[in-house]
Amino acid sequence: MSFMKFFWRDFKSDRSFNWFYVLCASLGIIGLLLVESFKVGVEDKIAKNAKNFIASDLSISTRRALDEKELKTIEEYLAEKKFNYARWTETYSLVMKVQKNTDHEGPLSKLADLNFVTPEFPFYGSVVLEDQGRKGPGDWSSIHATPTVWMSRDLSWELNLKVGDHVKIGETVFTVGGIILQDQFSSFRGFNLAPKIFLSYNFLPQTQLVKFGSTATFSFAIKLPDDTKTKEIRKELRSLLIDKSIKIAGPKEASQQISKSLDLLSDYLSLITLMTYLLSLVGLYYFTQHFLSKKLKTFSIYKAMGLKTSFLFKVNFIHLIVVTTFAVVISTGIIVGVLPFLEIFFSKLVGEELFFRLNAMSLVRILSLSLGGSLLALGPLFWGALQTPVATIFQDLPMELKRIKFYYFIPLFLYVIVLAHLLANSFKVGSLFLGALGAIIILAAICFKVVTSLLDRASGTLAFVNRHAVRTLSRYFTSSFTIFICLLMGMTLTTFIFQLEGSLRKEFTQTFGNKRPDLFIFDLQDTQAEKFEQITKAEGWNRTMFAPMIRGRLLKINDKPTQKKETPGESDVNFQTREEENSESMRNRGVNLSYRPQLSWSETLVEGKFNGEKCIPSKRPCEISLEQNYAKRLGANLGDKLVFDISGIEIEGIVTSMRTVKWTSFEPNFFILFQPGVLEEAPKTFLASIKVKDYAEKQRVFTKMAQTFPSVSLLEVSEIVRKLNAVFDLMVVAIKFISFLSLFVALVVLIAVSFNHLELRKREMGLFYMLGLKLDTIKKIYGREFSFLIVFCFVLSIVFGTGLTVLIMKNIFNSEIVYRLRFVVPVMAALGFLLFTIVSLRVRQLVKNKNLF
Amino acid sequence: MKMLSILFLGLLISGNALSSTNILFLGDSLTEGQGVDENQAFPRLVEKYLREKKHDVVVTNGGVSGSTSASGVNRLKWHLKKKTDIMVLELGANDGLRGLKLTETRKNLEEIIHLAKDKKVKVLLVGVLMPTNYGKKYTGEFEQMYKTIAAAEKVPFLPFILNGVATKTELNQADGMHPNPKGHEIIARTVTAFVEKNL
Repeated sequence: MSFMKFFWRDFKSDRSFNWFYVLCASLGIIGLLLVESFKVGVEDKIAKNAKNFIASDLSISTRRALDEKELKTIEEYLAEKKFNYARWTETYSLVMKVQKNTDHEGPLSKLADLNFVTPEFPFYGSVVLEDQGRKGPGDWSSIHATPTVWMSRDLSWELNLKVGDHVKIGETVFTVGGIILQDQFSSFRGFNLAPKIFLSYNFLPQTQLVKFGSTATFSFAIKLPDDTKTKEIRKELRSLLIDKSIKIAGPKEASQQISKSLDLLSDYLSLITLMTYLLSLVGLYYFTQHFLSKKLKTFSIYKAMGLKTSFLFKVNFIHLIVVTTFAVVISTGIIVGVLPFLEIFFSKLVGEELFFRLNAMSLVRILSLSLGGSLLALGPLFWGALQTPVATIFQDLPMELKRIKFYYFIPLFLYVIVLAHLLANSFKVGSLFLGALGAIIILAAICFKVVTSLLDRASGTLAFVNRHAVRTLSRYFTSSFTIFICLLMGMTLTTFIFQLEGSLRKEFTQTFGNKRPDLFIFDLQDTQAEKFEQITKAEGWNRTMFAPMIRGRLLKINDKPTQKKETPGESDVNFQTREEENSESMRNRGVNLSYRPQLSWSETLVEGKFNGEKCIPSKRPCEISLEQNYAKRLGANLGDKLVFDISGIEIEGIVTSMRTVKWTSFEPNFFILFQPGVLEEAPKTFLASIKVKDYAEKQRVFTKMAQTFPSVSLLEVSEIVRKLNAVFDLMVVAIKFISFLSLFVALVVLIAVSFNHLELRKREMGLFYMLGLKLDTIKKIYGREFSFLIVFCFVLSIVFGTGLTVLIMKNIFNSEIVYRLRFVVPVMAALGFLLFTIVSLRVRQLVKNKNLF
Repeated sequence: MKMLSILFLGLLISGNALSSTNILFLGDSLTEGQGVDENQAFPRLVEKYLREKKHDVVVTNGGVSGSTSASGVNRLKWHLKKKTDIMVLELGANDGLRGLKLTETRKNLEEIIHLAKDKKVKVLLVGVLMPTNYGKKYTGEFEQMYKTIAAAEKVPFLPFILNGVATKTELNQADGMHPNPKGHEIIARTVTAFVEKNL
């Protein structure tokens, strides 16, 4: 008989397996595709939001004027590619209110961040104007026709301006055409020191502001066609513009904060994808094992007929490929067909606009994942089954697969590690995660063996139903252990996902909780500190932080100088590239130090002991607390002695604690904190943050501060926070949604595993019935057995899931864990109860089914 | 406090400090040498060049990045705890960059000069110019402010510390504002000549 003919006959004879396999595998793949499509959708939306920051798909910017050759290169390249672009020049200058009668105090003028833009601007993003609404792409014509400006509300307060008033900028008088309430664009000049103004590029020459000796950022905001590969364009542009001071950046690079958070979210979602996949693989594995245990006799017959093991393996392996491919095609078809409806349904369900997107890359990734994983996980099962001796032909009961060796799964193990690496872009994530899972399996095996042996010994004293349930667990160890592990892994991963979700959600939201300030005040002098305190109290402002800041320079770590000792001009000239220069700047730059009696809400002690008591330098060295990552970069550890130069005086201290800092809290935080008692006398300025109740209070703070401390700078951070918040909100929804999705997948897999396990026990149930046991008693036996398994798994999954979360949060996300046991325990208990109910119903159905006998 | 007193005492009893001319550079990020090694910042180079010319000087770098003229008086009080013969005052640039009222800046700079003079410290005033994007009026007034102070206080004056460095990409860091080591070297030559003339 030819191979094909044999294959086809064998394939047809396993019709029920084929359909069940396709069903189970499709469920898993649908779960994967859902997670992946949601991940792609969220990343798309976030990337789109980030595009608003730079108003385009790609930006070229530089802090120096581009020379004619560079300008020509850029313009010719953009013309050749037929890309639309806008020019955007940003500079700081004084804006003066034009008044008819100038009083004796002189004209009102303030520093502003001027943004000169061409009519094409913006391609993405918008501003919201008071009484005029949102102005998006195509709505900016009014500033280009006549000299008109749109200015931020803060500036209008400070200069007492309204629409229709006039301001002088450089040598030109402009009319105030709009007051900006919100704007989505970020600044190329880093942390904005001044309120923004948008005005037409057409009037830039008239202002005479940008010429030789000016400091400005010159940018091209480029709109790319939808199908353009940004990476390639960036590469091409970089090859044309070799000076590294010309930055070519996409939306992601435009905001470090967004970029960091996106990476975090991507890591998380990838981890969930991997877990959902492993969960579905567990279900598939168990189901195939069940099928093979039924087919062992058939294999023995084939072998008795003289067919070689390798031939049979080939047949079955191809069988596996065919059914998996079929499952892939069906599930992809279903998902692609229902994605638009899913978007609407889930958006309504969670009350947020959700996006599901699949791109070619994600499809290829998921499909290869499904096929590769299934073959590597199930192939060894088939190979093991084919090793069964021909003698089993004479056995009557379904066999267990005992000939599968551990090392059969090494390729799968390696595959999952590679997969984790590819999915999470991190070898560490995969290795750590899988290592932890391996450790859990070993620990669980020990626990299970010990508990079931103890129960077996004590079973003599138990009633029949309990005795039988207990003895089944210990005597059919392999079978019981397999389902135990499947249940445990499912429940542990679910516990883990929920704990991780809580921790990550806190990571995003606590930053923007009620504690975040709205205004940031800096450069308050020593002599002004007391008066500021008095005003704060008198006005009833909610001052969230008041911190001294001392400028210093790190000289030595453990008596070794940290500064690079080179004579300028004598160092290697090749060393002076922009990158090397930047790196040198990082190493040699001065540092800001502070002191405080206790850590703030945005700081967490991770190592050592923070000392906020007053230090007496003559008795012992003062203590220093370092921010953990800064300490790593510095190579400093607990117990190290650091020496700083504070305005010509050397001050030393010993590192006694490490902290993590939530930099996005927008609170004044420092890499280096000294114990109080040593820096109080040093020259310093103060930083303060204020949380305001409402718009009116914000205006009052601005006015009062401008009147009392004209030299003090006030920065509104609520607008920056609002921009980031929009992105983070979406991330929180993503995390929440994906967690529930994985819970659903876990439930489906656990049910499938339990049902398959019961299928194996069908004959046993029949035997009990024939021996005269009542149906109720049979139901009780299996009910008790499952109750034990579920309760045992429930307890262990809480412990292991929490342990896994601690491990992952600490080592991958470098963050603290938020214990959500009050939420996780009831959810897992409900999951266990639901599973138990479904299993009980299935037992009842099986016992009633005549086919049983 | 005690530790600081010991440190000051250490400096005071040092024979070198007693016999040498102690020069304090009170300034902002330019003086501090933001982004470069302390030994590459111009005050240390001035010390080196003056010593090469056989002048017995000890330089203290009192530069603080981002500082405005408002912080000057307090910082000078800190430095005056040790022997200071000459103060090179390089403050006001951040006031200008933040668009602060020049009357305030002038008042602050004059207070610093008065305090130094009271303590018998010779003052050398160093000025900066504002970038042209700050407008003709403001940049003009800013430049004039230094000239007025120098004339009124009768102190030696170097009008533009960044002469030959500003606007030159190869002499500045990526931010276009702060000099790189080569830029500091040029500044040091300019300042050395200015200080040497007034030693």
